[in-house]
Amino acid sequence: MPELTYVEAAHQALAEEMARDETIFVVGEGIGPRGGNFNTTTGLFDLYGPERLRDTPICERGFVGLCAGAAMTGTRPVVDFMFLDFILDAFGELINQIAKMQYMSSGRLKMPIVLRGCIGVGGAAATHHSGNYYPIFTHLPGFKVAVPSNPYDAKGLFKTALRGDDPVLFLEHKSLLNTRGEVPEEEYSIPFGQAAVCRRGEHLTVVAFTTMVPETLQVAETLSGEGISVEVIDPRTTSPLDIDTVLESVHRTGRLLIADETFAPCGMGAEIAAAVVDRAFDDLDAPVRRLNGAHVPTPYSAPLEAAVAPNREDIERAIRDLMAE
Amino acid sequence: MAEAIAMPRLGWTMEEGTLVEWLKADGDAVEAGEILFTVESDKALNEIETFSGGTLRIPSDAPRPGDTVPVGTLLGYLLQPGEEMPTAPPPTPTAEPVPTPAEPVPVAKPKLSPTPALARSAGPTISPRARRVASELGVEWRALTGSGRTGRIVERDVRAAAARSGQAVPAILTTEADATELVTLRPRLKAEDAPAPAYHHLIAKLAVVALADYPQLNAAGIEAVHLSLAVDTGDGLASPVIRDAHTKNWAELAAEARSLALQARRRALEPEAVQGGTFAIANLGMYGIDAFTPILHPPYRAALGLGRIAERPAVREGRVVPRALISLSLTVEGGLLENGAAARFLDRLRSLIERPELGLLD
Repeated sequence: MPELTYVEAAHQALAEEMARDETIFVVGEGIGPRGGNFNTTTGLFDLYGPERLRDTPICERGFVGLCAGAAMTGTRPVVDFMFLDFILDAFGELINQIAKMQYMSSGRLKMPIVLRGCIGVGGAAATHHSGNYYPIFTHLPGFKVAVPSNPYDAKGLFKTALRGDDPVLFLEHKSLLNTRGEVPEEEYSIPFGQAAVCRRGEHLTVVAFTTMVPETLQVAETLSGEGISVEVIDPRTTSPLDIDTVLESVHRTGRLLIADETFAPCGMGAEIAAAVVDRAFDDLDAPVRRLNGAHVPTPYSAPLEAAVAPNREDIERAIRDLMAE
Repeated sequence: MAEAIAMPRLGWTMEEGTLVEWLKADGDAVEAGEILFTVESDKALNEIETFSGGTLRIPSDAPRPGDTVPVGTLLGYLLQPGEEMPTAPPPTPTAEPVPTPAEPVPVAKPKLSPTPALARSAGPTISPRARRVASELGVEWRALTGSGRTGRIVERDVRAAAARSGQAVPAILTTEADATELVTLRPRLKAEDAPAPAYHHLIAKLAVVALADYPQLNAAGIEAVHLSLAVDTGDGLASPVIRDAHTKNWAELAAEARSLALQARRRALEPEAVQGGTFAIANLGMYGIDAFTPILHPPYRAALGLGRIAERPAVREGRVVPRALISLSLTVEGGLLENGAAARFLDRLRSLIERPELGLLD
């Protein structure tokens, strides 16, 4: 099976779908001849030109609104925000129009729009280029939210996003872009709302998001040498969120940690903890724990930046602590 | 210390770059802000400026103009007066843009910790899971010492207590049921294409019905009932298992029991066919045995023994009348006797046998 980087795998999904469906077009800053700040559209301008790879000025609310209209009239826009942080300038269009239009029209209008961008702490990118935001979109009805943690999932989930009729946030963590992994040549897609059990374990369940997935897998490998058997679950999409896989796991392990780089308040950990306590109270042998980044805007300074995001040592300490409960 | 100059990372996905041209020569004095060299990345030609001054030195084995090298590859050094060019290459260069700014001051990383727990008041605490397991095993947990933090009783404490205190030492309960209605009912259950069910097939179905109310007696709890039904093979007992008995009606149970019994007598049972049971029933009625106590094998929590059904005198409303009576005996883990579950189960089974149509309808 060929090995691709995360960027290449997502690019392959976009290129294949653009070749298959001529109603797909991409809008964003520097996604034309330049091929995207993160190489998300490299080479596609040469194939499809400015009609389908449309560079824009810096005016997020304008081009997001434009794409909402285009989606309602039957095309399939992909908005490439580069750094997802800039999506914040388009919140009115996103929440009042894109997320609600299908409901307001009783389903007569579709909203097949993909909103993609890079998220996450890393590379001293400072606070305007380090946000995660997926809990915000998960909170709101009308969006689907994909947070792939590896090249295989990136391609499979992007395919599903491009073929569906709902607005999808497709969020790629900066630190994962150059990670490599096997991606089959055959056609495949990954349904939303289906978590991956990345590693089976008996003593403790960790639900991890984006970069926390590979980090937790490393920790789980280390701890297995001490006889601590950790199960690692990657939900892959936060909306819809696959709680059943988590419940099944906690039924066996009795212990749950949620590892998420982004902020704790009203986040994925809070949601999962509430669902588990509600539906599987009698399975819990210890408190449900969350490990999150510090609740502060991400600092620019590299040492300070490293201090606010959970790392491998933090995950290992949290697992040991929870095992001692 | 000599300052290393390395191939910079000029974009998020840049892995390598081409050294196009040195704009300064080996040995030149350079000042902060001057352009040292140019690099071609996948996007553009970039001029690389130095943030500090010094003497530029280019090792003889460094990449030449035109070479494409990975990000971080050593290209040269900036030396201050009195410094020498290192002979050994420096440790693996970082991917920071070069010339590198001053070394970052190491900051002790504050420990990111999960949400802290509230301290609780006195009294033994127990996790919800441990409490559930204690109820299943019939363990009295209030006397236990917990091994969790703050002394919380967790699942492993309950399981250890159950093993220690001989919860698995069996206890035996017996009762007598009036099977007269069952005897009347049985011939009417004969179908066109199947013989009438045996009494123990019908009682097996009634036991499964009773287990739904007392899952503590079932080794798999509420999840599923896999029924082990002892069968005489001619030279000993075999105990094939009817899977998912809780999903089957009496006719399906009887048909499967007959088929398994036939296989057992032909010695044709697969090894898996006698494994995985969660509740056991043994019947010695056909030998004329009135009553016996079945042996409890782990991981079973309970085993039901059926004696023969025989007409005996019984007292009903002050008068002695002939009734068809059957002796029931139940061997259980000791804990199930202590918490009353075993007695309630057996009583429920007795009443189901006495009014069998209630349990056989479905």
